[in-house]
This record gives sequence, structure tokens and C-alpha cells, in this order.
Amino acid sequence: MNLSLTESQQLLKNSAREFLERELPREEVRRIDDSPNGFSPDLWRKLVSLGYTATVVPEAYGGQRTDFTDAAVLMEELGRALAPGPFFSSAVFSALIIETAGNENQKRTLLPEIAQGRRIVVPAVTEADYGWDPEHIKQVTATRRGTNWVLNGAKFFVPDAQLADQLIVAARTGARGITLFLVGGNQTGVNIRNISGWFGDKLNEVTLSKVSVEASHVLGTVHRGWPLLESAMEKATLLLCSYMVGGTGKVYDMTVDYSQRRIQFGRPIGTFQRVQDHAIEGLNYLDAARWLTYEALWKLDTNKPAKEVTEAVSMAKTAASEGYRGAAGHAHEVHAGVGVDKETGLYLYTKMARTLYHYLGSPQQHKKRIAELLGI
Amino acid sequence: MDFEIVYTKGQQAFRKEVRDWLDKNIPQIGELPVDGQHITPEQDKAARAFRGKLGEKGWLFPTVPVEYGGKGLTWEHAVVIDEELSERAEEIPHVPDNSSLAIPPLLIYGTEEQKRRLIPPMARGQVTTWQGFTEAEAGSDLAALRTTAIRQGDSYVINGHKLWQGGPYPAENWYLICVTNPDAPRHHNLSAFVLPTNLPGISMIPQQLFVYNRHQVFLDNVKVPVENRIGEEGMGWQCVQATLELEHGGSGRIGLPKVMDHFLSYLREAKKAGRILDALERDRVVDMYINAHVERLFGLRNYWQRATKQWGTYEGSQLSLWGKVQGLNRSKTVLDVVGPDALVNEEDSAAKVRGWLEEHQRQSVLTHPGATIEIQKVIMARRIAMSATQERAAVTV
Repeated sequence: MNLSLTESQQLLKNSAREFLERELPREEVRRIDDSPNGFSPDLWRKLVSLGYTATVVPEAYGGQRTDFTDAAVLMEELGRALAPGPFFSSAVFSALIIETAGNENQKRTLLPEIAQGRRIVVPAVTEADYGWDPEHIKQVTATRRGTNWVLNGAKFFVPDAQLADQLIVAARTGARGITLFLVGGNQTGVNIRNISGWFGDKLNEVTLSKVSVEASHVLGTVHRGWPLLESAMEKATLLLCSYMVGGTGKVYDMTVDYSQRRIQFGRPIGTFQRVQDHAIEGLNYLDAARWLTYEALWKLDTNKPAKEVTEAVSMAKTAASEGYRGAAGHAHEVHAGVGVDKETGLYLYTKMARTLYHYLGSPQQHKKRIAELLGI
Repeated sequence: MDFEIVYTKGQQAFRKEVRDWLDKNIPQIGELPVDGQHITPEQDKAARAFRGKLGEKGWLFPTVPVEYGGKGLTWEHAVVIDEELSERAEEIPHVPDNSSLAIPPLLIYGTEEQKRRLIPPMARGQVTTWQGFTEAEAGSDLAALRTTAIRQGDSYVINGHKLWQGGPYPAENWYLICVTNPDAPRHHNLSAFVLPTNLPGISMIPQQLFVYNRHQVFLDNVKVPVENRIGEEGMGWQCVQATLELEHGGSGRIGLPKVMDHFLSYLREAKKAGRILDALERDRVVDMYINAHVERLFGLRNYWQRATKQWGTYEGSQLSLWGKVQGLNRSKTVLDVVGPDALVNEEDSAAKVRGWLEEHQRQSVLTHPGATIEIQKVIMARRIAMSATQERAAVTV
């Protein structure tokens, strides 16, 4: 038993934090957040040059993956800095889907490009009737026409689609199943519309009108797309949890820091027990999510039985969703009016916590899955 | 990171040794009450005999050095023993004993002679120990305690009154905090002692509680030799801190809170009988399950920190606070989901899962042992540098 980070993980953590504090100050996050496409080519180039976009891709396909805990250390720092843009969508989630579902040719073509940041691939899974299970994949359909497939319908709440060179679309292919398709972001019939709202990432509606896809652009087996997606999603979810834990940690640090600096009634507000309670709740949320996530990563990295990993992932995502949102709430109680001011930047975390709350499965959905595993 | 101990061949053999030994030695004294505490005098006697055997093996306090009556085993061995004992906890009658709280201050502040004299009887399970801290006017404000020990030649003469001592049956040994200098400032006026409970002047009466019973104890001119004072006179508060650091959660623990198993068994049986949880109930039960795992992980983290001598700051109190709050939340979820059946005890034939849920309803109310929820929050705030009073973890072992 050893519950510390390894020496190399600690080095990665320190260097990532130093880099992100230098290159991505709060004003820069705000600038990118306010820009129409939520992307900084300059930051992206730097993330690529540090090898960060290669973290999840296996070595055999041009990446540098060691294990998931190593990748999680980086994700935590990215989450702390609120690194925007398609990092998670492309370099984590899509990379894992392609690794899991793609044939050898697809993996050799796509994964090195993703690892080098030259191609941005974005999964388009959810629909207006939102949910991360096969029952909720029904609006987008694919039907055969000759050797090709024709896709119709709309995906909703798709992060980063505005930047996608390619989309991975989960489409209903008859009652029998779901199939994954690689679709060009600029392909004829694909329309991407930014959804207006209080979001931490750019979320989009992706409309597909008679989009023709060659059979060679099917990812994985026809009709058997969901189990492949689910398997990739399990790993991606844990890395998302780390990203969320990173944000939760920053929100907690801001809470303690502000409570020591803010003077009211002639003393720092942190000396008032009612204020302390908020920080303690925040810290408990943080540590609950952090330890459930670390343990789940360890189970994944050490190939524990599938059911055990699934349960651990669902516990971690529940705690990460509820913890990030909860800790941000307590931070606002302590910051009061100052926390509403955009200058403080707390709102960037607050809306990210809400944006990721349902992403890759809401707490309710994950709890339902745990209940099934428990047989209750 | 690595969340489990990778057992070497030797350690696996050790686990088998522990298992085999427990098979042979756990006393066969009939079904135990669910709280493990309302036991007959005969069961108590058997329980103490078992404890003595465990101590003789060196498995009661496995890491205590050989020269002080332990076996000086590694903490990995201690984990194996803890896991195996925890696995069979419901077969082993509970003997209330706070020796684990008295040994650390002795190891840190005791003289070599004291360590060799006072620790072995505890380590070997020959005596059980009371923690003589709380008084009628000294609960959360422990430093306000009033029992006095006044130096007279080579002895101290003790007068006062302690509450909430031990369990249903008396202990032989006492770890006692008293005022030795009434004129000294707060926290500098106290000293710690280890003494037998059969000295002249000590008398006790049972304290009737709605959980298991304890004792209140009166001290009337009790004479204790100076050699039984731990550390220098006036160092009582440091001894208290070494103890409370552990009692406030710093010692950590292994495994999931037991009530979870009983509740899940209940729910699985109920499901077979056609009781389907609605979505709200299901969410609450799973919340309880996740929070129990968080408690397990906080406990494991603290256990590991202590074992590897990496003292944290707020972690002890965080575990304690989390466990108490979740205990209350759990009892509400059980009460809502199970209904009045949750209040039927083991003596009634209608009791579900042997009355474990009723026992949990009572236990969940006990949030004060090892300091209240509010005190744990005060300690956490000091240790995350928010409070005007700032502190680090106390020195302990």
C-alpha cells in the first residue's frame, strides 16, 4: 500500500501546474471563454509541444501512455487551470473510443494525428432527450444505401463540435443496435450550431441531414457500437473526474484564501465558525471525490474485475459531479458579492461544475447503475 | 498509488496462521448480542481470556516493541491482523479497552522504566484500561477538568470524579488526567497517570445508558506513587494530545462501516419478497453506500499515514466528522426505507436482520465519543489555517 504520487507523477504535477499558471492566467481563461469558438491556437500548440495531447494514446500509435493514474495527474492540473478547448473531447475521449473500437488502419491513421494535435476529433453522443445510455440514442439514425450509410437527425449538447475535424457519431441502426461513424466536421449535410447558455465549454447542436458515410468510416462492428463506446467511456469518465477534482481543489483553495484576506467586523471572515463550516464542507467534497477517483484509477490500472471497476467509476463520477457543484456553492457563500464579479473568476468554475454535472452520466444515472450492481 | 497491501509469501502464510489461530481460539460462548456489549459475566470472562491469549501472541498491539511486551511486528502484519479480526468481529465479544490510547503517551513521554513496567500488562491483554478524561463539567472543554492530584512526598493524593468510564464491567487499569497545579495556567496545570483501579479510595457505580452501560468513578484520597506519573509534572496536556490525535480519527481504520452489510442484506431479502425501491429511495441508499466508501477511504488514508509516520493536519478530524455525520444520515435513510421495523430489537421474533438496524438507530445518535461534530469542525478549521488559533497535528505514535 502506498497512497502517495510517485516521484515522476509529482514532477509531472509540478511542471504542469507551473506551465499552466504561467500560460493560462485567469484573464486568458476569460478571454478564451468569451471568444466565439472557445479556442486558443497558441495554447493548443504548447499543450501539443509538451506532449500532453499524447498522454492517453498508446505508444504503438504515436502516443506516450504509461497508465491512467499518470494521465489523471495531468487532467487534475488541467481542470485546476480550467484549460479550455477540445483537449478532453479529442485527446482523451475520442482517442479512447478509436483505440477501443477502431480497426488497425483507423488506429494507425487517426491516433498519431490526435496525439500530435493535428486533428481534432469529437464524440457526438447525446440528443435532445438527454442521457448516456443506449435508450437515449434514438433520434439520429443511419440507414444503408448501397455500400454507404446515410445519417439523419440531431445531436444535442455536444462539446467542442465547433472545432471538430471529425465527429464520432453514435447512430441508431435499427432496433438491433447502435453504430459509431466517423463524420467530417465540414461534410455536406452537417450543421453545427452553438447553444447559448451558462456553459463552461462550448456546447452545440449537431444536425445531420442526409449525411453520406462510407462503410470504411464505421468505427467498430455495425450494431455493436454501444458496448465499445461504453468501454471507452468508462476510462474517459475517470479522467474527467480528475479534471473535475482539479477544479474542485482550486475552488476550495480560493475559499480558504479569500476568507483569510477579507476583513469584516475588524477581523478575517475565516475566523468566524459559520464561514469555516463552508470551507470544511468544500474540503470534504474535494477529498471524497479525490479518493474515490484515485482508487478507481488504481482498480483500472491494475485490471481489477470489470464489475468492481464499473462500480468504482460510477461512485467517482457521482462524487465528482456533486462535489464540484457543491464546493463551488460553498465558495460563493464565502465570496458573497465578490464571487459574482467576473474579475474574481469564480464563476468560470461554477459554470464548469454545472456543465460537467451530467456529462458522461448524471449522478442519478450512475447511482442507478450502482444499485443494479448491488442487486437492490 | 496502491490501495492494497501486496502480500509477500511470508505475509500470506501469516494470514493463514492468524486465521487458523482464530478458528481454534475464538471462544464458543453462544450467540452474542448485536451490540457485542450486553454480555453475561461468564461471556465477559471468556472474552477477557481470549484477549489475554491474543495479547500473549503479540497480536493485540502488534507493533509494540518486544521490550515493552509486544512482538514488534511490522504495520503490514498489523493490517493482516486487523483485517482478520474485523472479518470475524461479530463472533468476538467486545471488551471495552482504551489501552491503545494510553500506550502512545507512555511511549513518547514515559521513562524507560515506566515503559517496561506499565506497557507490558496492556500489550499482553492482562489488563484493560479506562480513559479517565471526562468529568461532569469537562466534556468538550476537557482542560476545565477538576479532579486534583496533589503531591505529598513520594505520592500524589487524588480527589475527584470521572464519568463515562469503560463498559459494563470494570477495568483493572486507569489512564487518568488530573490537575496537579491548581495555580498554573490552563493547559500547564495537568499531569497524566497510569494506576490500578483497585486502589483504596476508588469506588464506582454503573451509569445507565441507552446503549451499553458505563461507570462513574469517585476518587477519595487515592494515593498514587510518583513513578506512575507519565512525563514531567505539568505535561498532562501533551499526553492528552497524543491520545486525542488518535481518538479524533488519526489512527484510521480499515473496512466499510458494518451497518452497510446488514442494510444491503435486508434490502436484498426485501427485494425477493417483492419490495421494490422507488427512484428516490434507491438514490438515497446508493448515496449512503458511496459515503460509506468515502469513510472507508478516509480511514485507510489515515491508517496508512499513521503507519508510515506521515502526520497530516486535518485528516483525523475529517474522518471522525465524516463518520458521525454519515452515521446520522444513514440512520435517517434506514428509518425512511425500512419503516418502524428499523426499531425492532433482537429480542423480538419479528426483528429483521437480527436487530442490527435497531442497534444502528441507537448507535447513530452517539456522535460525541472522541469529541462532538462541532469540536471536530473547530479542529479542522484550525488545521486548514482558517481559525485565529492555528495548529498542526499533535505529537503521537
